[in-house]
Amino acid sequence: MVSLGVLFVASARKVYRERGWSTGMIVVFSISLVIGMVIPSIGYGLQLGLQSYMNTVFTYVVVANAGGCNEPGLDYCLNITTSLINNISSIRDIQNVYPVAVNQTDIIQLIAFNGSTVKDYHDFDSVVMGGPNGLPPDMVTTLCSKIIGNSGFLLDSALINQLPPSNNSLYTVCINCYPTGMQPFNASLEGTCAESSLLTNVDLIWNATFLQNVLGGESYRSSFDNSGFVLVKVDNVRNVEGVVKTLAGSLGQFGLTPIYDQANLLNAQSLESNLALPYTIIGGAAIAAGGLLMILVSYISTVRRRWESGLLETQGWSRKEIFRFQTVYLLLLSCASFTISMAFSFVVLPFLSTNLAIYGQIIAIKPSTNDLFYLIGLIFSVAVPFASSFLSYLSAGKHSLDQTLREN
Amino acid sequence: MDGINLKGIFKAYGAIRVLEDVSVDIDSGEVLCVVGPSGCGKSTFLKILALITMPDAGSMKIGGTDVASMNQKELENFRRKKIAYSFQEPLLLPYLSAFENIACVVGAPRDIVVDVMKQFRLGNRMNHTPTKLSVGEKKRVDIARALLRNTDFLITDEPLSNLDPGTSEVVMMKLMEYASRGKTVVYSSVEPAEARYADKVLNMLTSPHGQSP
Repeated sequence: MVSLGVLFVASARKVYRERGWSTGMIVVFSISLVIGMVIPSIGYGLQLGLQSYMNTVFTYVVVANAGGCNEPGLDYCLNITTSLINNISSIRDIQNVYPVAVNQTDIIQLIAFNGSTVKDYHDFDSVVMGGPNGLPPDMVTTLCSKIIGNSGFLLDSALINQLPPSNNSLYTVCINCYPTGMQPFNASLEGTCAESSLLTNVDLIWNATFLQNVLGGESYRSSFDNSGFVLVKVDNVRNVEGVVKTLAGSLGQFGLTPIYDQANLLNAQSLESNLALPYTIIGGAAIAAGGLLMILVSYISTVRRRWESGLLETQGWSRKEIFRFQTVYLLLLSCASFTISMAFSFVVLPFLSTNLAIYGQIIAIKPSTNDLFYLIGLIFSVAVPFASSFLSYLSAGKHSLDQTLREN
Repeated sequence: MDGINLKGIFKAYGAIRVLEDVSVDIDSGEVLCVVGPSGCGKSTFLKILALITMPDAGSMKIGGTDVASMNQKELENFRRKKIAYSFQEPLLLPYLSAFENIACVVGAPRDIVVDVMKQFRLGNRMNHTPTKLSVGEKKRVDIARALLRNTDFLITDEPLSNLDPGTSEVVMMKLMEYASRGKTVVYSSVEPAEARYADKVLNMLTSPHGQSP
């Protein structure tokens, strides 16, 4: 009985002293494993990115006044009461309800007129991101592809031309200039948001923390304690249509209507289902191709010097011991390859991140280092040496010992 | 312990008849030398004895066992346990050193391997891989490996080829010492003079093949 220690030493010597061949094998193994791990990760990342986008954006429904919030009737929007919000919360499949406070932000432009300077006020319906009565940050980040910093605001991209001229995008603004007469302060435009049904009632988005610091807690609370509209978070994108129907039926009597982007929701669902199968096929094919390449190269390595098996057989090794020897040798190579390919994947995957422009938004696609693919890689690294050695074991049974030795 | 009894062994490769009606009886503890020129079938005969190939006809008893009636698996097990073989062209694993080619392959203890290698004048070649060994050195490694398997039957094909007279003497002494422990040793040679160490000689110059004392 040949001990495992002897098998390991002999295999290690074979790996080390046949460095050229071993390196070639490790390279091919690593490429196979990278193919089997990276390509499915790209497809998986795309699906995940799309799903994440859909779950972040298309699972929200706006409930607002059917008449809109036209100035000066901002107060007209403020008829969504607490009991109404509770009613909405009790509807099936609704995960969360966000009452969103709407207020007016004025951007002040100084104009020289008849020898004096007058103030021109540009009005924008504004909301905050974060905090009570604010928009969920993940939704804003996804819609606007940007996190609002602590010094400014985001603006509806369609309204960018309504801003007064500015140096370095810095503006003098005030919240509720009328009738409270709050003091103006400086803020900068940090970016724009693509048009979306979710921002129907919103021109401008503030960072809640920034406004609290600038206005002070009391002024901030008094300015953003209303419910201008309600943002409803549905638990699953598939339930959105049903929730919208329920909302429309139950809220119509209050003059409220659910707003969502039906066309884009259907398009996204269609895109997701259309992408799922091809990417699953591509991912599966990549894994299969990687595995087959490994088996092929392993098998070639075991039969390229078949006389070795013959020699060992004449020296008292059983065919099972020869099988174990070949397996240990291939395991050494495949484990090294797995380590290399995993490290390589970690390094390479971030560089494969890309942006997908869709529905006016930019979706960040990050190929994910999914544990499942590493597990598959690990299984291959262990299973392929066994499979190849077993094939060699079966093939050896078809040759006489004399034939095998003559291949020397 | 029973030796080897072959009767009417016939072997052909296609149309070429290599062995015809070869019969030989060797008792345990005896040394048989198969003598004949190149191509006369010595190696084929030794491979049949080592169960590497099987005859087309004839009866074979090794150690009292009728090996001709065994199936493939039984033959493999019998060969593994009972027969050691060394090649005419020494066959070593290229990635193992001379020492490892014996110790790893046979699984013999280190001190015994070192001792035998020193006796075979390989003491300064232990860590050399086969590419750095001469043919004669490889031959000695091959024979040492077969000896250390300590099987009942040792078959060695032209063990003295490529060896200088001094080393040949050492190798033959080891083979005879091996036989003296009740083992059966069969070796081949192209030189009739090298048959002087054997208890029996199978002369393959004279056909049909027969044995002489």
